[in-house]
Amino acid sequence: MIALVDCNSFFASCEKVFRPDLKNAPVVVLSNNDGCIVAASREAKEILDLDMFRPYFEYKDVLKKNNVHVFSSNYTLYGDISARIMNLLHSFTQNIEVYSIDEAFLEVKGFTNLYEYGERIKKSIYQGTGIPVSVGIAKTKVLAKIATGIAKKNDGICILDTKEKTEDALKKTDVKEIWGIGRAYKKKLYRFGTRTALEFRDLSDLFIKKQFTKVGLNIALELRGINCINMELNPSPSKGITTSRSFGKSVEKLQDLEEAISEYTTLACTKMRTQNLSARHISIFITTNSFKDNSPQYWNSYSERLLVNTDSTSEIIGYALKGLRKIYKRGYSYKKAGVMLTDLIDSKTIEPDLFDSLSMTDRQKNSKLMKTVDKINLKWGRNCLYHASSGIKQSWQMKRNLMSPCYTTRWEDIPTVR
Amino acid sequence: MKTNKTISGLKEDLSKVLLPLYVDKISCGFPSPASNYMEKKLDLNEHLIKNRASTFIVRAMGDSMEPLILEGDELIVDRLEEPKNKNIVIAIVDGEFTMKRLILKGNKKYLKAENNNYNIVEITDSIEIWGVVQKILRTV
Repeated sequence: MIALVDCNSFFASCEKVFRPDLKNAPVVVLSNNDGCIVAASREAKEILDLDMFRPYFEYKDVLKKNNVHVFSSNYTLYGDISARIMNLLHSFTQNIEVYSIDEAFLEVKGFTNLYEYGERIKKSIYQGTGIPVSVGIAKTKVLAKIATGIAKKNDGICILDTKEKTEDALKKTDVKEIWGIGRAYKKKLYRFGTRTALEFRDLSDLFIKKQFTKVGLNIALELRGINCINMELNPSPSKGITTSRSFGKSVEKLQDLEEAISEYTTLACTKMRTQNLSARHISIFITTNSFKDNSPQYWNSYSERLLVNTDSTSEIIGYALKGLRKIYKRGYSYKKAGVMLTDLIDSKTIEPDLFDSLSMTDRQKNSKLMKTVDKINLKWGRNCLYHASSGIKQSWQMKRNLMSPCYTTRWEDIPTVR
Repeated sequence: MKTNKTISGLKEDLSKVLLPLYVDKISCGFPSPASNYMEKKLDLNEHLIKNRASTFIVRAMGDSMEPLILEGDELIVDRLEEPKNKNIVIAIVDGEFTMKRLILKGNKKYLKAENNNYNIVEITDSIEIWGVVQKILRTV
């Protein structure tokens, strides 16, 4: 059997862990740049008719009137609490697949009382971290997802271990709730008169494959209790590392774009080094705001393949800025930029090239320097040491006005007790 | 070392001596008598934290637990530790974190301050134990 453990309103729940005063209060969390509401506690969902993808400013008045607490995303905090939860879940299974920041699939073998197993998981996670979770257990991943969906609406546990229970669940589940069925497939299914998961499950294989490709067929097979989607136990090393963000406010000057690109390159490189990888291909892109239809639009990107794989931030910033200067055009209001590092290999297997502009000794020196910078930043806080090209004021930085303290990762932010 | 030896006598060609090139530093001297007894260093992380996933660090404020806990002390708190009689716990009272000693008497539970200027509080359903203090860190 497969269990899916899914945290309830994860971001909002994280914000409550160190705020005992908000235990039963309505809480919402905003996306990057405080743009949209991405998480809402149970109390907030009950008060407000929340359409998650509508912009935050449309809700401002309603939120204020109902004393809803609003937070900017605190990814540092959420990441730390997520790591703790995944760590605790390891003791419940031999095989765990961390699916997202707040979901994990567990292989369940040799447990006869599945309900009790689910209860123990719930209790352990809540006791250990303060986060409430829902547990769905079924024969396949797709069924487990459906089980968790039902668990969330009830007391937090749903076991689909018999044919009857499974069929009953599928009857009550709309096709759009099925994992893997997106908006386009949903519309198509509705047109064919297929509205429930049970109806989808019972369509002919030929029909499914024709209309919804092999992917759709796999989903149907999983609904029938046949495992097609394997547990991914050892995530493959990154095929690419991307850092791209929208700006807090529109950017016009080249200098500001240079700062942003330098910053994003630094972040991507640091991430790459933690996986002991080096990149041979770098791309950057800049784009204007496509939502502002009145203003002129511009999107461009620059790519370069390097002679030798490198993990040196300084070196890669050089290429990134060179590319930026080639594609930058004056007179546009830029809203977003990004850096992508691909063609990654293990840093130990870098081979020298005859035409390389740097000698191997210089490369090794750079590598050592980067490792030292990483160590210092780890100890003293992100961006303690940074490249001057990233800028000091950084007026383009993401707006996160309502962020909570990093309670678990910064000494100056740890909670106080009396 | 290349030598030319003939059976008839010692005739060594010492004009060419090939020595291997060492890339690493060679530590000089005899092997340490302690080398068989080397252990890893005293690990504070291991020593202070039993279960990393459920351990959090908080800062003490106020004088309710003086002289045991002073303002500014950092407390290592384990949320998965089962609270027992006389443990120092972090509890939630009136929506705030508080540090007190847990007293279990029969089927009643109390939160007691070390400082006699504070009243003892009986634990009701509205009070929650957040975690158990394991260690106190203090800079002197």
